[in-house]
This record gives sequence, C-alpha cells and structure tokens, in this order.
Amino acid sequence: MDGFMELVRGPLFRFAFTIAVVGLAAQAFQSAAGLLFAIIRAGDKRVDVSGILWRTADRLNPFYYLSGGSSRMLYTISSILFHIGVVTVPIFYEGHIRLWERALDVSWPALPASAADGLTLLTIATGSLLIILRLGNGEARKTSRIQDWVLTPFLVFAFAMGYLLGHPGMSPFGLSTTIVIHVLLAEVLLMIAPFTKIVHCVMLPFARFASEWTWRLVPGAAAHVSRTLGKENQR
Amino acid sequence: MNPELKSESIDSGISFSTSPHAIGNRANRFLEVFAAILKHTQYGFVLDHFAALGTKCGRCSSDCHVYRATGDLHDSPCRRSDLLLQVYRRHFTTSGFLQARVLGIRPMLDSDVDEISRTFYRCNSCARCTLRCPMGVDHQFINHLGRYILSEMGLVPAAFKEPVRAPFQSKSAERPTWMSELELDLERRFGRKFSVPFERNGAEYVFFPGHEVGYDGQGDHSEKQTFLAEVSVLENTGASYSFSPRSLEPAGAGGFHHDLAIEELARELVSEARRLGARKILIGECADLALSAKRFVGAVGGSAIKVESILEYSANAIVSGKLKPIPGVVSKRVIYHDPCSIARTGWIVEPPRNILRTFCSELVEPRVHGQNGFCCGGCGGLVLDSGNRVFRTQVAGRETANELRSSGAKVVIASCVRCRKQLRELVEDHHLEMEVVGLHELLFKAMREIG
Repeated sequence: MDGFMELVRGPLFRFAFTIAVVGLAAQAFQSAAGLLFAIIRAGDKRVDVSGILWRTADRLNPFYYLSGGSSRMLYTISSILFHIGVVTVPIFYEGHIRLWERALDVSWPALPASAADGLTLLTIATGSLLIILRLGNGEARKTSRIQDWVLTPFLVFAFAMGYLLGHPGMSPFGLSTTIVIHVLLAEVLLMIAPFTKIVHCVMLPFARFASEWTWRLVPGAAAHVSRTLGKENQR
Repeated sequence: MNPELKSESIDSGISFSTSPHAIGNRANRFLEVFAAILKHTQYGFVLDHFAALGTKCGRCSSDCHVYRATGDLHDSPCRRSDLLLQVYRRHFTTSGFLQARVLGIRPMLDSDVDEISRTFYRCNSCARCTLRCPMGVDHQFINHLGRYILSEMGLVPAAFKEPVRAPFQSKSAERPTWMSELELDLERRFGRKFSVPFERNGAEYVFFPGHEVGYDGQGDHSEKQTFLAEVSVLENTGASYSFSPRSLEPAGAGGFHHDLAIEELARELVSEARRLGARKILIGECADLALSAKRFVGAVGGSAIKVESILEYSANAIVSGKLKPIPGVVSKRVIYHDPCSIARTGWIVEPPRNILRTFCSELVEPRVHGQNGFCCGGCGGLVLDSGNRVFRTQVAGRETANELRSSGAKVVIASCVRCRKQLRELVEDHHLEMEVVGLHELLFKAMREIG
C-alpha cells in the first residue's frame, strides 16, 4: 500500500497534472488561434475588445443569470455556489499549499481551516443538489451525456474524501485508503479535464469572442460554396 | 382558433419546396454541403468551440418561449443545436472519426436530415437562448447554419419563395409617381409644401424603410402610415437624406437562411450608399434589415458607413429639441414590444421607450422586456408563412400573448413590420382587446411642425 500511495502521490500525480496543464493550454491556444484565424478571414475586422470583455465579464458574473426572467433559479444559485467551492478549495486549501511548498518551494496564502471546511461542505451539498436537479429536470435529463452524469458525482466524491482527510476521525476508511481514493479521483479529473466539458475553465473567456466573430462573414465565401457545389448558375 | 389545441400536438405547419437534391440520398448531400461551407468559411472553429462547451444544463430550454409552450424536447435549443454539432463531430473532426471506429457511432442518416429540417424551422432564431446560455453557445448561429445547409440542398420553406433571391430588384431610376401623393399627404398634415428627395447626391443618409411603403399599392394601411410618419420625422427635423429606387424596396427573406442572400443584401446597401455619396445608412421600422445592415455592412467593405435606425434618429431628434411630440396625446395604456433583432444584442432598447414617454401618458412594460424580452413568435422569417399561423400564435407566441393579456394595455407598439404582422394575428387568435401599431405610426399623431 505504501508503494502504491507513493506512486499515486508522486509520478502519477505529476503525469495527471501535466496532462491537465498541457491539454488545457492546448485548448486555450487552439481557441485563441481559431479566433485569430476567424478575424483574419472576416471581411469586417473591427474588434470592440472592451465591449466583448465587458460582455464576457457580465456573463462570468454568476448573478447575471438570476435576473431576466430565468426559471431555473435554484439550479443557477447552486451552480454559482458549487463553482465557488470547486475553484477556491483546491487552490487555497492549506494542505494542498503545503504539498506544493514541499515539492516546488512555492506557497501562497491559505484559507482559514474553518472557511475551507465550510466551502468543502458547501461544494458537496450544492454538487449533490445539482445532480438531483439534473435528474429532476426533463430537458437536462434527456439531453445529458455520460460526462454530464459522471463528472459532478466524481467531484463531489473527491471533495468528500478530501473533507474526510481533514477529519480522519470521521472517515470509515483507513487514512491511507482515504488518501489514495482522494488523490486518484483528483488525478482522473485532471487527466480528463482537457477532453470533457471541464475544458470550459479555459475556453469560457473566449466564448463571447467566438459568438461575436461567428457572424463575421468571409466576403465571397458563400459564392465559393455555391461554386464548389456546382450551383453558381442557379442564382 | 380552437382554445383546446394542445401545444405539443401542433405541427409547425411549414411546407418545404424541394429540389432533386432534397430527395434521395439526403444525408450524403447534407454532408457535401456542410463540407463546402466549412471549407470556405470560418465556421469550423466556431463549431469546435461550441461543441466543447455545452453543459446540458437545460437553461436555454427553460428560457425558450417555444419549449415553454410545448415541453417537447425537439424544441430544446441545446438538443436542436446538438443535432448539427453531433454531425459535425462525427464527420468533420478527428475525435469523431476515432470514436466512430472505436465506439461504432453511426453516420448521419436521411432521418437526421428530416429531423433537422423539421426542428430548425420551429425555432424563431430569436437568440434568447444564446443570451441566457452560461457557456455562450450561439444557438441562433447554429440554427442559421443548419438552415443554410438545408437551403443549399434545396430544402427551403415554400413561403420564402426562392432559396436565394437578390434583395433589391429595381432597375428603374425614375422617381416613383406615388411620391407626389406622399408629398400631398405631408402638405395636408403640416400645412406647407414638401419635396421628398430622390436620388439626391451627397446627402447624409440614404434611407431604407425596409418595409412596404403602401403608396405603391404594396403593403397595408399601417405600413403606409408608418412610412408617412418616418418621412415626416425626417422632413420636420431637416434631415439630409435621400431615397433611391432600390432603397424603397422591402428586404427579402433570404437573409433568414442563406449567407449569399445576406452578403448580397449588405453589398446592395453599401453600393447604394456609395453611389449616392451618403455617409450613413438609415433603416426604417424593419428590425431584420436593421440588424443585417448593422452586422454585415462592415464585412463587405462598408466599415466607414454608419448604420442607424430610425428609432435612434427620432430619439436623438427629441433629445436635441428638433422633434417635440405633443405630451399626453395618447392616453390609453400602451405596451412596447421589443423586436428581437434589435433588442437582443442590447442595441436598441431605450430609444423607443424614450420616444414613447414623450407623448404616451401610460407606458407599461412586459414582465420580461428589453434584451431579455420574449419573441412575439414571428421572428426568423416564420411570420412570412401564413401556413404556420396556428404554430406561431398558439405555440411560439403564447408567452407574448400572456404578457400582453396581463399588462392590461389597450395598445401594443412594435417597431418592426414583421412583429406587427405577428402581433396582429396573435391578438386576433387570443381574443385580446388591443390595437397593434407601429411606433412612428403612433408618433405621427403627436407630431407638430417645427418652425
């Protein structure tokens, strides 16, 4: 078990982390390159960067979705709280920071223990609620893919194991087992991040740019399409 | 209208005209067309982006007026978009290629084409789902792309007449004879002579009403009144503008489903503006033409030409004091309906309200309005097809009908010719005691001559 734990916490973690960083960076680069390509080809190259950035910030503001007559308020609120926990705890939990410090001699300010605990429990609760709300909502349920069903429970379970690690007296498993499960779950999530919808963490900032430039016609493209299809004389 | 009709049982009622390509091996033809489009446009990058971002949260569906009426999954924006995105992934991406071989994912079938043609025209393309999607997936664009592919296959709603039609057909440079009748109406109303400019070089604006003008025997009384009112505003504020033969034609329907039609429309707008030496294009109460001009004029070399809506013009004229509507002329409770094409992007939301507040005693708002307003059910060209009226008024327009009913308003104002047509049918089919008017049509009643 010790040897397996060393593997999980060492080379396997480094491998998973590398996959995540390289994969997500590649996706971000691909998005940026695609945007550049789109604007180069577009007939209208004017870019209202500040306007797009404002709209991006607006949509990244979670409270935007609480206005405007939305009828999925509970889902929206749960999602906002869930994301707060998912983003802050892995980065600012003291235990994680100490691991980085030991490995790379880097550190940053940590959350107080009570805050980390509270956010972890919040993430578990809201994540569970999101699963229930997906099950209970017809259109979400019927359009969901495998990853839509699997990812949130994975995250919730990873956070639950993390909480138990911080409170070993509460864990039904042994300490080593809890560590291995927690780290393995995290590693799986890291490795699949670039290939699932988790990729939205790096692609979302480009979303409004994509939507804006989607409508930038490439002059002459439609005529080329007609020609390619042999329909140029049918107009 | 049968009030007992259940929303989910109502077919869209849209019939399609077909070409030889539309029957037979439809899936193959669909993919051929899709490939040609991807080759010559930048849409592939956009599809890659949206395919990766969808979370299937269902928020788009819960905010879609059609889905809210039917509860039918076929009307869910993300499910509909997925019909096209799945085809894209399966046939045009490396991961799709690999998944097909490893997981045995099936290729596109003729039945998939049928489903796309059925569902893509049940959508108003109002972009409310796009606005509400937390991942920014542009369902309106995906709907447009699907329709573009279908159109190139020859699958176009019969009501759109032709797959692609040049938007402006007029070849005559003669001043229309009906302009004298227009000038006479202006004289009767304002007590002085008018000379409406036609083919005038060097004017600031070339004015495209976008709708039928009524004076030439086309269009109804409301459109005639709207046109008279728009010209009245321009004349009474001393605007430097001109008409041209082509500017007086209404915009065609091709822009709802074909990039070539959009490009040709944009080129015509720019060409007319340049030919007359105008610095700006002014669009009348036709929200679709206004949005098309705003979005696409720059793509065809018209970046230096500013696009303005008559709504912005009139609102600015009031602010500057050039236009002073008589306060309180309209005492009935009025409600303003936001046309999706100009309001959804946030472009024109306040100007019409600012205009109305100057002469309407009681202006109320729908519960959800402005950028977030519900579509009237006629957007996306659907209002052009009288065969789908039941779908438009009983399904697509149901949210708006409910809003209108609960507002208690006696007059509903729509600053778009297509919204007005849809709202009139909506009001009739839902037995609402309301009058539907254009904004300038109503403003005309409050106008006094300046000077």
